Amino acid sequence: MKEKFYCLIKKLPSLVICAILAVLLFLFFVNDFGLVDIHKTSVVMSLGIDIDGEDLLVTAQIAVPQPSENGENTSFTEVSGKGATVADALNEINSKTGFYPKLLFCRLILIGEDCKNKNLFELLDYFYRNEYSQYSALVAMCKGKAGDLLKKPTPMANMTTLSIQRILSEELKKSANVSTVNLKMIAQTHYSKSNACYMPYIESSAQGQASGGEQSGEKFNSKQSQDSENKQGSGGESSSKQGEKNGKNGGGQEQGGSSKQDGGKGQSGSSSKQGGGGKQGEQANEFTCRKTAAFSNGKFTGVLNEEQAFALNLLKNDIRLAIVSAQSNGKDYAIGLRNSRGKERLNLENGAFTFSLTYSAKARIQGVTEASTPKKLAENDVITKDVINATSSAIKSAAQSLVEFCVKNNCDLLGVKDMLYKFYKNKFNVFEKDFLNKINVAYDIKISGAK
Amino acid sequence: MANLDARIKEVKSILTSQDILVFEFVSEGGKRFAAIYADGVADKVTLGELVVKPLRAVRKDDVIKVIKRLLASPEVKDGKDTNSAVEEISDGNAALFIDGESEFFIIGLKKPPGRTVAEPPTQIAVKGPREGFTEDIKTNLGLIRKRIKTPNLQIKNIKVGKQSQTNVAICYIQGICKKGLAEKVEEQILNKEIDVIPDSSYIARFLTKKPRSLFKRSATSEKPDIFCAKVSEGRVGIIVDGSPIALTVPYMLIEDFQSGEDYYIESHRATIIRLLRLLSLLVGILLPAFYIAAQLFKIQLIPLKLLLKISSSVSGIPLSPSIEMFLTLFVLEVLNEASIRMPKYVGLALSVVGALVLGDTAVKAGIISTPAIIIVAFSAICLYTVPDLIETTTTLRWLYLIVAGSVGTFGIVLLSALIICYLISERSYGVPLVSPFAPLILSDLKDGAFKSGIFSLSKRPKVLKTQNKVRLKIK
Amino acid sequence: MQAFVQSTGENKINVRQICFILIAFNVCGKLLLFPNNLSYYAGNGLWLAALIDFAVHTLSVWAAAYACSKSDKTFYQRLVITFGKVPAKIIFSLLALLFFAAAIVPINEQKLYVQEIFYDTIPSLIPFLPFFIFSIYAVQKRFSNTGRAADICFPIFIACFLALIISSFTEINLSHLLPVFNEPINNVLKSSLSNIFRFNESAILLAFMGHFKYKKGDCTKITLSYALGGVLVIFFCILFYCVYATLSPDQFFAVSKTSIFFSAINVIGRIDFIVLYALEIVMVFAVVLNLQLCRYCLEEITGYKNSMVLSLAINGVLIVLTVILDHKFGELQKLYGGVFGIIIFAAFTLLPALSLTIKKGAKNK
Repeated sequence: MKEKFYCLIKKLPSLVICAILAVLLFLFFVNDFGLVDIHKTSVVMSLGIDIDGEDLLVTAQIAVPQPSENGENTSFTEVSGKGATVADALNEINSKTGFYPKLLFCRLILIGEDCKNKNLFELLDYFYRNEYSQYSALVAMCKGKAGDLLKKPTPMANMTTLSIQRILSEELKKSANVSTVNLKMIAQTHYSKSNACYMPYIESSAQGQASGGEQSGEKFNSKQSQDSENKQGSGGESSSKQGEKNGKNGGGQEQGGSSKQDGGKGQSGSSSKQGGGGKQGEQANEFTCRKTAAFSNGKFTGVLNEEQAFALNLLKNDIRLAIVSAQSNGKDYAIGLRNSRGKERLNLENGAFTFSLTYSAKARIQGVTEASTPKKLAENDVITKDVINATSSAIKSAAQSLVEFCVKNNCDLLGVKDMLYKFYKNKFNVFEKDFLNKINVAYDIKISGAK
Repeated sequence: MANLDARIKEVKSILTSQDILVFEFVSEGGKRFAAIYADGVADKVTLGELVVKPLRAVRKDDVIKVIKRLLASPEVKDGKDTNSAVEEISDGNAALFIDGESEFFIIGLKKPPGRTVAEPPTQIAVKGPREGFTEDIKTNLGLIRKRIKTPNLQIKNIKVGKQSQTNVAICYIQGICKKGLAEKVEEQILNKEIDVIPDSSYIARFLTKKPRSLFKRSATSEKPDIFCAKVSEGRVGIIVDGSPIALTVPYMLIEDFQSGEDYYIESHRATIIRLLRLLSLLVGILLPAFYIAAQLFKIQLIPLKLLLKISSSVSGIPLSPSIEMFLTLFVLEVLNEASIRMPKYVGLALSVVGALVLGDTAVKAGIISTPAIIIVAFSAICLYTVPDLIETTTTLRWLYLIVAGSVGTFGIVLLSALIICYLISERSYGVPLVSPFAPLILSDLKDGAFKSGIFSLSKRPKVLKTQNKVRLKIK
Repeated sequence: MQAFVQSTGENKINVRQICFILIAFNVCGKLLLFPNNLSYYAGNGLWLAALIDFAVHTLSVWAAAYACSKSDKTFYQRLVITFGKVPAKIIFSLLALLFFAAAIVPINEQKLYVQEIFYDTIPSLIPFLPFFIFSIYAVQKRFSNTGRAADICFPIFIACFLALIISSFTEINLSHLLPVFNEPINNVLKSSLSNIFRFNESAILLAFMGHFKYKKGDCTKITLSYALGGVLVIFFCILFYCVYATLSPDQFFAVSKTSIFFSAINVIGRIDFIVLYALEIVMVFAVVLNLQLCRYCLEEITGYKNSMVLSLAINGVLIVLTVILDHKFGELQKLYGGVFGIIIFAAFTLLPALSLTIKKGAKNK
C-alpha cells in the first residue's frame, strides 16, 4: 500500500502537468470569457461631444475593417448616442452597434461649439475615469457641431479623424500654427493655480472657400485696433497693438510697423472623402485650427485669434520653425524663426510683480515680394535691421494681444498665477486675487539674423 | 591440442547465423587453418592479403610464434577464450584458429559499410572545417586524434547494449578535465542495462537524471572541430559507434547558440550573429503567442494601422484567432514532417501542394488569414537559426501558443517565469544549465551572448572547474 | 521522493545576488501603487515621503547586514543559541507570518495590475489564478534558485527600467515639483506611514543570514545597494510627478503610465507594454520571494524538509485569501496603511535591531 502511495506521489507532478495542460487546451478551444476580442471590437477613432437639449450627444467615428485578403479595406462609420453623461451615450452606442466601444485607439476628442455653456470637465469627466482611455488623446473644440464635423468628407484622408489629427500633428505644433493639447495637459493646467486651459479651435470650410466667412490668406495685425474675441463671439479677428493697452509695456526693442501673418495652410488637394456612409458626391472640406479656444475655471471664455494663438504657441511650445510676416520698406517678408526660445518669468521688484515675456530666435528670410538676385538669395540669413525690427514688432504685437485677451477675460493662459504660487508662495495669498490686473508685463523680443 | 573442427563447431554453435562464415585453408606445408568472420563487416580482401597469403608458407611443424610472425596484419591479438572470440567475430574481426593449437588469434578486419567523411548536413560552415563524424567509431576517433595529438587525450572504450554490444568511447584530456567527471559519466552509462543502442541519443538519455525534461543535458555535435574544442575546454566527449552525433558534457544552454563558425570569423560579427540568434529564437517562440494574445486579449499591442489591416484580414475568417493559428501551425508541422519523410520524387509535387494549395488557396478561400501565414512562416524560419534546439523550441512554441490562447499575455509572462525558474535550478554534471548568466560569471560572459576576441578568452570557462585554467598564454 | 526533494537545490546565495535582490526586487515592488499613494497625501512632496521611508529602512538594512557580518550562523541558529529553541521558534513563526502578511498586498496589487495591463476588458479573477501555479513551483525552491533568479532578473530590470525612464523623459516638467517643501510635514509623514508596510528588505537579509559567505566590505555593499534601489525609486517618483503633477493620485500603476506619451507609441503602437511584460517577470519573482522566505521559516521551525508540501499549504491559504479579498483592495489598503502596516514595519525594524544583540555562536567548521 505504501509503495503504491509513493508510486502515486512520484507520478503526481506528471499528472498535475497533464491536468493543467488539459485545462489550458480546453480553455484554448473554448475561449469564451466574455472578453472582447478583435472580431467583436470596434475601433473608435474619435469622439465628438455635442449638446442635444438636456443630454449629451456623443458621435463616435468607428473604423470598420471589411473582409479582404490583403487587409486594404477599411471603411468607417459614425454612430451617435445620447445620454446624461458620455458613459451613458457610449452605452447607447454599444447597444446600437453590438460593438463594445473601447477607447483604446480614440486619439481625438472633439467638443462642439454648443458645449460652450457647459463646464469642460463635466464633459471630459468620463475620459479621466475610464481606465482604457489614453491621456494622450488630443482634445479640440470645433465650430458648429462636432458630430457634423466628423461626418464631413475631407481630401486629406478617407477618415475625418485622420485629417484632423494631421492638422493637430506635432509637426504643425512645432511650427507654432496650432496649439495641440491632450487630456493630460488640459487637466494639468486646469488643476494648477492658474485654473485655465486652452485647446485648438477647428473650423471647416468647403474646399476653395475660407473658413468662418473670412478671406483666405488672412492677415492679422492690420492697422485697426479691434477687440479680441468675446465670450459669445465666433471667428477671431486680428488687431495691431499700437499705444497703451491694459498692462504696461516695458522694455522691448520693437518699433512701429505692421506685420502680417503668413498664411500657412495645412490643407491642399481636391479629392473627395472616400469610404462608406454615403459620402460620395459631397464636397470635400478643409479644416484649419489656427485659432485657440480658451477656458477659465472650466468655462469657455473665448477664442484666441490667429495672432494671439501664434503668440501663445511661441511661448508655450517647443518651436522648430515658425513663419511670421513682416513689412518693411514697402515689401512683405516671410521670416522663418529658428532656435526659437519663448519664456515667461515672474519677478518681484520693489514690491511689484513684473511678468516678462521673453522670446528669442534666429531669423531667416523665407520669402519676399520682390524678385531677388542670386546674391541676395544666397544671403537669406542676412537680414536688415528694419526687417528685424518689423519682425520683433509683429511678435510683440501678437504677445500684447494675447496678454490683453487674458486680462480682459480673466483667463490665465500664460500660467502667471501658477508661477506666483510656485516661486513666490508666501506672497500668493496676498496677490492671488485679480493678479492679472496687478502685474506689469514686459516684453523682450530678440530676433537676430546671421552675422 | 585443439582439434580445428571441434573449435569451429564450438564457435558455430554460439554464432549460428548463416552470415558467420568459416574459411578453411591449408598451407603449403599442410597446416590447416580456419578463419571465422562475419560476412559484410570483415574485410575479406585484407584477410586474403594479410593473413591467408602469408600463411601459405607455414610448414607443418612451425610453432605458434612463427605463425604469428608471418601474419602481415598490424592488428593481431591473442585470443582469450571462445566467448571473447565470439565477441570479436560479432564486432567485425576474424578469429583465426590453427589445427592442433589451443591458442588462436584475433585479426582486426573490421570494415563495416559506412559513409565517407563529408560535411554534416546539420552543421554547415561557410568558413571552417567541413569534416563531419560518420557512423564508424574508428573513423571518428581518428578524426579526433587528428586534431588532439597530446598524449593526455584519454579514450576509454566501453560496450553498452546487451544485444548490440555497441562500442562507446569516452574521451577527455587528462590534466584539464575535472577530476572524477569521466568516471561519473562512465558510471552513469554503465549502470543502465538496455538491449540495443541504435544512436547516441539513447546514451544522452542515460546521462541525465531527468530524461523526460524538455531541455537536454548534453550537447551534440557532428563536427570533430567543435567536439575537440569542447573537450579541450574541459568537457567529456562521448562517441557512440553507429551514430555520427557526438555528445559532450557538462552542457550549458548557451552552447547551442554558439556555432563553430563564431570562432573562425571576426568576433564583432560573431557577436552580432549570436545576438541575432537569441533574438530570432525569442521571436520564433513568442511571435505566434503574442499575435494570438494581442487579438484575443490586448489589441493595444498592435499599432493602429496594422490593427486595421489585420482586422480586415481576419474579419471574414470563420475560425477564432487561436484555432486559426493552431491549425496553421499544425499544417506547418505536417508539412515539415512530410518533407523529411517523403520520397525525393514526389517531394516537388507535394511542396507545390503545401505551399500553393494549403497556403495561398486557403487564404483566398478565407479559411485562414494572410498575417497568420506570415507569422507562422517567419516563426519557423527563426527557430532554425538555432537548429540544435529545434525540438525544444517547437514544443515551447506550442506551449506558448496554448497558454496565450487560454490565459493571454499574462500566461506568456508566467510561462516565461516558470521556464526561467526551472532552468536556473537545473544542472548538467554540476554545471548550471544557464551559466554564465545564472549564476553570473563575468569572465565566462565573454563567450556567452557575445563573443570576445581570441586573446580575451585566455582562460577556460570557470564554471567547468577544470584542473588547468589557462588555455592561451602570450610569451 | 528523495530525488524530488533534493532537486530543489541548496540554501546558498552570494552577496552579489543579495545586492541584485535589494535593487531589482526592491524597486519593482514599489513601482505600481507606491508613487500614486505617496502623491495622494504628499502631493509634490512625494519624493520626501519616499526618502523618509527609505532612509529609515536603510538603517534597518545596515543593522541586518552588520549582524550578518558578525557570525556565519543562520538567524535561527543564533536565536536558538541566545534564547533557546522554543522562543526561537516563536520568533521565527512570527517572522513567517510577517513574510506571509508582507506578500498579501503585493499579490493583490499584481492581480489588479494584471487585470489592467494584460487585458483590455477587465476579466474575472480567473486569469490571475495561474500565478499560483508558478508560485507553488517557485516557492519550494531554495535560496540558490532565488539568487540565480536575481542574476537573471537584474539585467532585465535594468534594461526595462532604463527604457521606461528614457521614454518618459520628453514629458517631464520639473516645475511641477515647485514649490519645494510645499506640503505640510504632517501630510508627508502621513504619506510615509501609510506606505511603510512595503519595506521588509531588512527581514529578507536576516533570513539570508548564514547562507552566504560574508567577506569584508559586504555590509557596505549591501547597504549601498539598498540605498541605490531607494534612489531609483525616489527618482522614479519624481519623474512620475513631473509627468502627471496634480493628476498623480489618480494614476494607478505608475510604471505603466509614464511612457504613454512617447512619440514612438503613436507610430509603432504600445511597445512599452513589451517592456512592462518583461518587467513583470521580475515582479513575479519579487512577489514570490516573501513566500519563499515564509516557507524557509516554516521549514526551520518544523524541521519538515518537504518544501513542496509547505509551498502548497502557503499558496493554498493565499489563494483563499485572494478570492476573499477580490474587490476589497480598498479595505486591504486601508488596513495596511493604518496601524497594521505600522506594526508590520515595526516588526521588520525591530528584528534587525534584535539581531545586533543576539549571540554570535561558534564559527562553523
